[in-house]
Amino acid sequence: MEIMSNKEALLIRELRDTTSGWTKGDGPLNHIVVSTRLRLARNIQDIPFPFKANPNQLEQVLKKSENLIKNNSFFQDFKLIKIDDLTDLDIQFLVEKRLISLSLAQLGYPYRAFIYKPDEIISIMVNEEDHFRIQCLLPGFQLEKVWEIIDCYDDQIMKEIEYSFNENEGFLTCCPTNAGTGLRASVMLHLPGLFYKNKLNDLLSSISKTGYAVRGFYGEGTDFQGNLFQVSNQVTMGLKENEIIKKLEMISRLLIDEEERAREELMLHSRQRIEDQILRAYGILTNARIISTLEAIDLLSKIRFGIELGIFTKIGYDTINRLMLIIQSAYIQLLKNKKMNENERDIARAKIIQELLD
Amino acid sequence: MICQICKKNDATVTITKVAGVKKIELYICNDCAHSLLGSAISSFSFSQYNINEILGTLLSSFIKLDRGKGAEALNKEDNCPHCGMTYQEFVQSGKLGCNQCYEYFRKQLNPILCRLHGNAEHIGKLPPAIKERNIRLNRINEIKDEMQKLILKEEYEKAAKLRDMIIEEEKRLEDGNNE
Repeated sequence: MEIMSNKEALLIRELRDTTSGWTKGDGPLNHIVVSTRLRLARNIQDIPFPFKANPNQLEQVLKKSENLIKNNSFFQDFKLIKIDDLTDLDIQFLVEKRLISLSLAQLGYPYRAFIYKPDEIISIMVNEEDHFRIQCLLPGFQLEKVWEIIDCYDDQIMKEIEYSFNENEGFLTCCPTNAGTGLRASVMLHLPGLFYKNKLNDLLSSISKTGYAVRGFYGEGTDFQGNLFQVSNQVTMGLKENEIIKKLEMISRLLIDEEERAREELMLHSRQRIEDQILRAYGILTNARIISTLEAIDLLSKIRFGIELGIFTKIGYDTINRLMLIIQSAYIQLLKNKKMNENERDIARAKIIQELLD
Repeated sequence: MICQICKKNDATVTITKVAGVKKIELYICNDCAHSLLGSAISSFSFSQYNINEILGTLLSSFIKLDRGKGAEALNKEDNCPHCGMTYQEFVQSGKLGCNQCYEYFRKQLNPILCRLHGNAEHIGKLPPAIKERNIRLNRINEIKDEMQKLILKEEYEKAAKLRDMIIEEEKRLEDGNNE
């Protein structure tokens, strides 16, 4: 393994070994809703947005972030990782753990960073598309609670830092699609019932007409791996934050109700077929010697469905959530502490899954 | 309210359109309405025209405005005085360079924001300083109303006290702005 600066290496090792707060999977309606996430896009007054800022200005943004966690007691246990100090593998790992976005990982400019609370429930990306992208992530369906938390941290930052704001367009963001509230709220849903009943496409296309978007969590288009979907708002201006959230809650509830109905029908009419698929998935996962990420995600979705239907009582949501994260390419290599080719990863993945499921 | 397009004149024309779930509300002045709609608008009232026809013209004018007229109004060399961003760059990247781009390109940006969000006005959370200032402004307006009532009742002594309060509040407001 490449040798990194010691501080960063330690923090990455810590993140590798700790489980994110949301993966406990214990929130409300956790039989369908995996997690709830909110993010706020914010910029600092009078500093150009990152892609137009010069290195000195980007450094200023980073300095202000460092001072924030030093000076404000609200942030006292927060940690800061500079992206420039990381190896490519570490950066990919942070993306896989849902801690940073692919944009933060791929952007070319210096002084990008990532600030987080050790429970990983709240974090801030520094010098992404905007100076700050604050995000809060909780298990289950808890939009209001997530808003309460993120709103509170946002207020604390405003005590130290003056945001770019005007009364017409609200919080000013690099891309006008985020201006106004700067709020993107999203709910991750597990919808295998609707998938089996072949009802997904109709529902998803009707939702996309409401100013809210539904995307497959893994990949775009029609190829929905793992039956995981993210519903999120697109409109960020002209509505209050609580209105955006309420509407997302309504749309999510509609999907939750439909999913519950689909599951009831499946259990009534096709119980054998569904149980057969779920138990076969368990059979493969606990016996395979070589397994790809895609196959594993697909089979783990079936195990999750088995837990949701009460077929498995000894496997918890926390195990499935953790597995979904650690079977990814960079995460596996960090866990095994060595660089691996695809074949080696597929073998290691099969082993990791068996260790956790058995 | 000030016209949402020119940000100078008082808005005298209000148009509301509900398109699907999006409610589009525009508050604009007569001049801007004229320049956007040309002959489709009467200076007396909208009611004599089919509102959908007018809205259709208005919205397509907005789109034309951000694609054509508005962009032409800016020279290619015209760039944001703060970050140097040109409108052309914005059209290509979909990104703005800094907070002042929002002021500088407002005329071009407003219709785009309307189409993106159904509205180009922020009504959500405010930073504490602005929130406090708005509370102060509301308080000043309330006292002014109260003072007017007292003047009408010819209770001048009480009105004078309120006038002093207003002066004090306005001074505080100004101090707050200068901080």
